[in-house]
Amino acid sequence: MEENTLQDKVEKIKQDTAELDGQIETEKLLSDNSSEFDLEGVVYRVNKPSFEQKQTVNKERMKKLVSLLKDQEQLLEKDLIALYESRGISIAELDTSLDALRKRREDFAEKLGKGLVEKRDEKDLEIYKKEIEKVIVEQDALLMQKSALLDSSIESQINVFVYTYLAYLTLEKRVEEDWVKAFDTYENFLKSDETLVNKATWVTTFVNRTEVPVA
Amino acid sequence: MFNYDTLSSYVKKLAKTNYWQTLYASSKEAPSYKLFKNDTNFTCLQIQFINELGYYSSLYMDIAMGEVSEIVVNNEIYEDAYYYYKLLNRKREIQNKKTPQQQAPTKHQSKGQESVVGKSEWVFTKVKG
Repeated sequence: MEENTLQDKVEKIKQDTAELDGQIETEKLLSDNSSEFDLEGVVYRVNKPSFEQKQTVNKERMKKLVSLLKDQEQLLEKDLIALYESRGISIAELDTSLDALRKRREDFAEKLGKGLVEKRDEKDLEIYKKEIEKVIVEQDALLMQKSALLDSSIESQINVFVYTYLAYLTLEKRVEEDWVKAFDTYENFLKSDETLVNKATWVTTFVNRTEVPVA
Repeated sequence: MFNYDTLSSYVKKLAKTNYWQTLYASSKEAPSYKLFKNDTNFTCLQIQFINELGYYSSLYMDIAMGEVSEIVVNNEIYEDAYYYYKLLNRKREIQNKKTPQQQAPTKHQSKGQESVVGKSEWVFTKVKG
């Protein structure tokens, strides 16, 4: 019993620390329109893309799209869906289930919202909250399933390419007092440290999302 | 590194803190109070944060006005449900305020059938001479 309590306390401290770290990281991302980070003694930053960089990314996106379309082995989302259908996997059914879950969630949310306005007992509100939590778990599982199934589509590949390319374009490193472009070519960026590529792409995807059109 | 949902959750948690709410309220009154290092050219995440600051500011106002109990800020599911219910009610209010004419869908006129609905009362004619 004693051991369990201690284990629980350790877990709680771990969770609180992760939560605090997450909030500090988020506050850092919010503080400016360029995000700095250290990696093996080098200071990098990812900037908000300029108009010119957005144009460049768009041009590269189209080039990549054309090259993928020319490749007969690559499939568009609609073709991939049809292929799955022929193998007995229905994306339409997944969508129907997702739609039903969305409606169920909205229904419970309306009841919960009404209960909150009517200042009902928290025990009653908890019932709706637990139902919504259940729906969220189901939604997440289905969304992950759908995303994994369509991961190899041309659209999905373009999506990943756009943010990785944007990360390459906007990534700079500090050399003494100056900021210089971190990599001269996209290929060299991809060949560099995986942690750096992931971190730069992560910042680009979350901080600068919706800056450029994807697939 | 965490996923987008976790990041959005952190953004919400920060936006509802007393510190950021005070800074947000002050920044609206005095420009010397700045939310970020940059004054313009905001990132998508910064815009999302400003939206959340506005949302929580309005939520705290609702709590102060007694429109909802303060337990609403206990968790994100309560907050989302309250926001959804409020939005739904507003939509219904707008719908109810509309006249029957506004509510009825505009029917497309078939060829040769003259449409009176939506036709301008102004007639422009080319002045000759």
